[in-house]
Amino acid sequence: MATPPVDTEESARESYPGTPRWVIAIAVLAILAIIVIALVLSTGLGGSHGPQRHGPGDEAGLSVTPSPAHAFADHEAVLAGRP
Amino acid sequence: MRPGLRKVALAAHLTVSVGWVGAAAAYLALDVVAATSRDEQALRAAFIGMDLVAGSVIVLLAVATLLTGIVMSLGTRWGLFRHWWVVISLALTAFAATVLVLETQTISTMAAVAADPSNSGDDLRGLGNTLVHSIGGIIVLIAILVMNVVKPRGLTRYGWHQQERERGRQPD
Repeated sequence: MATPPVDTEESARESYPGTPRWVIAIAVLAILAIIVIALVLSTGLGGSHGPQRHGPGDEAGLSVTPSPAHAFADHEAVLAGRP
Repeated sequence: MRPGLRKVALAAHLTVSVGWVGAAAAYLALDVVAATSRDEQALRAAFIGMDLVAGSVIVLLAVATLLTGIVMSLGTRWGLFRHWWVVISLALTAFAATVLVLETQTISTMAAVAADPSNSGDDLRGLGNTLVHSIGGIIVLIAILVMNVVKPRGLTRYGWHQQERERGRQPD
């Protein structure tokens, strides 16, 4: 008994043609960008940067909101006519 | 999605997404002042303006862009995971929005320091800037915009299987 002929169109339909080249290029660029960012962060070339920068207690230790004691002292100074 | 509703959703998505790019450009102008100016008043105004633009405009536009983009994808033949350009646009938009939300905490802190009159001009100059984020953000947003206009061809594996399944259902 002869084997039935292979339907080339049907077999072509069954296999995924693959990821487009432009997607692979973008993926390679993204990986390179991640490596560069990781190197910059790990070597300290980027300064105080990265997600940890966004947490509380950052920004050069400057006063952001005056403490109640500070505000009270300012208020007292104004009342006493001091600069 | 019905054609009328689809047009409304598309108009909303275009408005907020292109608005995000414009607001980011306005933010960049203030960021450049924060990075380069030596004038104390200009620095104070720039940091406070950056906080207002980022917190009141850009974050809202970013969230709206993400939501309207998801609605547009799910409500049209493009789907959310069928085409590579939609998947990459979604991933980049979500990434940009996440970085933005994290960055707003830093910007708010900078604005609070700038609004405090006890901090001197030197203190303000020591705050630095967010140019890396604002320039990088605009580049990412323009890349997404170009990808959405060009719509480069390419189905994901999921999209390809969906297409084959739909072809199989169609009568010859």
